[in-house]
Amino acid sequence: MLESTYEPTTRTLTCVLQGRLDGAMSSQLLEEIEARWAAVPDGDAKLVFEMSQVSYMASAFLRICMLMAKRMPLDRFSIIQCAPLVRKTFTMAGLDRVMTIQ
Amino acid sequence: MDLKEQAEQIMERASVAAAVFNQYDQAQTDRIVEAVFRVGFDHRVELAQLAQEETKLGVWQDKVLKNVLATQFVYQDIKDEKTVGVISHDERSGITEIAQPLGPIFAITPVTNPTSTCLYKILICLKTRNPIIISPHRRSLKCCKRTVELCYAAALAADAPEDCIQIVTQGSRDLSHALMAHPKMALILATGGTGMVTAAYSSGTPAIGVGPGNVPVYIDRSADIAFAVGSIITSKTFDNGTVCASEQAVVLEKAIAAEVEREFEKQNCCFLTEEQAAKVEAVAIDKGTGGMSAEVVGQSAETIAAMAEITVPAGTKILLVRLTKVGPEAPLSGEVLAPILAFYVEDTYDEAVKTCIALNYRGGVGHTAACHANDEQRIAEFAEAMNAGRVVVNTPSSQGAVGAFYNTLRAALTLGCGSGGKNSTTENISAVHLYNVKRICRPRPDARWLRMDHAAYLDKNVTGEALWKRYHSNG
Repeated sequence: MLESTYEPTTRTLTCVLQGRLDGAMSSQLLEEIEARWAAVPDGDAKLVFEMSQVSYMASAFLRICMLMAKRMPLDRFSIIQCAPLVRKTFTMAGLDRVMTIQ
Repeated sequence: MDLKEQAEQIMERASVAAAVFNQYDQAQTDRIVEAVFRVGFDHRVELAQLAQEETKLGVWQDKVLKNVLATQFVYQDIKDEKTVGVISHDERSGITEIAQPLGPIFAITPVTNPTSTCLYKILICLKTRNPIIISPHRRSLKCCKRTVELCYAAALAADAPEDCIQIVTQGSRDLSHALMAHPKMALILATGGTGMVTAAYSSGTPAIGVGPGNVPVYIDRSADIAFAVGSIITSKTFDNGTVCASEQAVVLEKAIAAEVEREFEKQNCCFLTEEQAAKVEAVAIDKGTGGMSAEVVGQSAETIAAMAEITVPAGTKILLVRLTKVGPEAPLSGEVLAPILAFYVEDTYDEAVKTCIALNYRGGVGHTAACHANDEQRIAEFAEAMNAGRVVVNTPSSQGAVGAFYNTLRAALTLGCGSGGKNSTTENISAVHLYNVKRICRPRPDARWLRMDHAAYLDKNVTGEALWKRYHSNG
């Protein structure tokens, strides 16, 4: 469900998300992301969500994004490679003002 | 938490819901709407009884019918409508129309129709993928909360976005005002008292607000008198007169007055003496405002008679008050949402219509007018004279104005009142009013414009008439 890689040189954990991130999927995702983040050796590592294959996001997933954004400084959490309509969803929700979204 | 923080939290949740909802297609949206319709329809009796018990207004059996209108008929009306994505395409004009949600909608619901208005507004908002925030009248919090709980659970079970339905059950008018003025609020659907409707219009957010009516019903010589009187009673006693489209004054010519009066009495209505009328006026009119007293709203004729300490025959359905004037000097010529009817007898048809105009302009402009007639010319003349969004004919006005039961108007509990009511429409409000239409405009150039000598438009010696002729010539 969730692929992730940790790049020690940039100290970045990249989570590759796919498909429809509905409510049920989101609660499982949160557990997995938390587990992988806990395993990262660096205390001040960066977290990246790669979203090129995401087609739908439920409120629960947007809450995960807000949770991550609240936990760490703006330059340490980012969302990348969003499809245009996924990007629009972030913008409509007002999240593009509180986190880095590309 | 202060009011501003509360408003921000509510709007943050609503904005996220709006963003998520924007991703839904028509089929997903329709599944949610059907699920909410089913739960509302199944609980029509429970919610009606709850509303009557809490508000102490009206008749629970009639509130069931209001819930039926708000669910069965509203759903029937909207279920097959396209409200998501491409809603029309015309190859000839090159125009494709696309529906876009408005965003969070603030819905004010009245104490007189609490659960039905909640059900109706929830359905039309969800059908258009708009999150709804309901602000119930303070005397109907419990029944509205129960309505929202049922609808929200059904919506979530059908995979609706979280927070697509919210309700403001605590706080104050200040919270409502903060929400109405919030920059992310897209629209206010205001049904209720003058104060809240005025506040909605003053908020800076687009609003569709429906305030008071003052419905005159004209009975023409050509009418079937017994039928007309029966219809008026059916309407004016419905939920004890709480519908803002209910008749407030009967107007007719002297020539048929005796027959109409006999028919009202035969059908258990009571004409009051001057002394009795004064006592009823004392309890029905708030001396401070000159408008109706909250004490009599939604009460039966017999209860109001007891409040006024007058004696009327057992089983009296409506209290009729003979009036000759319209205006503040005759307070009962204004709207009273209770089974009290003003009664005007005029010498001529023209005088009767003039009285209807005066009543219409005494607080009911743009709302509803009613007439009973079988002469099409009279119907047309009466309709021309009224400033109303609806002129209901040979129909109980309460049930006729809201659509579905007696005619083909859209089923609705918010009735547009046009410019007279400071609305943008005179239609019955439905899903069609709750989305923006985006138009893809493909090239379809005007051939006559292309062949014109465009320099001629810059020549001051070429007249407009010459240009007009050239544009319309075949050559």
